[in-house]
Amino acid sequence: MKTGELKEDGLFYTPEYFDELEEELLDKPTNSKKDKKKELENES
Amino acid sequence: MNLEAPIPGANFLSDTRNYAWHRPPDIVDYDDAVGYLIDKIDQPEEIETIHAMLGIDAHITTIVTTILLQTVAKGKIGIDLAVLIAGPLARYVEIVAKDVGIKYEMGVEDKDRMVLTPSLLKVALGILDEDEEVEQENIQAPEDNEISGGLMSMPDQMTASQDEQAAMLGSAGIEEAPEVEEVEDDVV
Repeated sequence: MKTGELKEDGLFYTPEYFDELEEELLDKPTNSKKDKKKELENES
Repeated sequence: MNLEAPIPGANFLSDTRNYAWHRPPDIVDYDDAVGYLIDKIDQPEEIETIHAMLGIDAHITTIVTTILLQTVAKGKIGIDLAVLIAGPLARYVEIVAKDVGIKYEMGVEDKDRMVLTPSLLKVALGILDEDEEVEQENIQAPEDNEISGGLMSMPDQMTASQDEQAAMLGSAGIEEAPEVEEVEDDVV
């Protein structure tokens, strides 16, 4: 179960929010997406 | 005999609502709490403090813990919520550090941690098989130059030199006073 599903409207400050914020501020893609892909691969 | 001690059960009658964290917290929602603290961090005084702490190589976990403790102490959020929002706040402080270009460490990883392997555990417990004794030799021994103990550990060299011992006993180091030349009484 994802954390965002626990609240009806969903959470605002999600990991995706911080990834987008980092991309906006630094003007370059964040590394956390790669880490997330690795985590998903390891889970599967 | 201390007669001023509280009687048993006095804690049930005392008013414990004097502290902020004894009352219900002001913020109980996750998004509200993260938003409140992000706004607080963005204030000039707070961001200066964070930059200064990052400048002295303070870990991000230390900074976040400090902020959260202050917020809990003021009664803004509860301890449970503080634990929940610690991760997002650390992520935000990380973004702030990257934005400014300050080198940072999260403080989560332990660089000096030794990876525990079965053979290492056997060595530690002294249950190494004969076949594995060869492997034991391959395990890196600590270097001689490495400092093995702490401040109070036994020094490698226990005996002092002869001169040092003599100096401690007070028998050496007393140099003979230079002979003072007799000043002739030429003064008229």
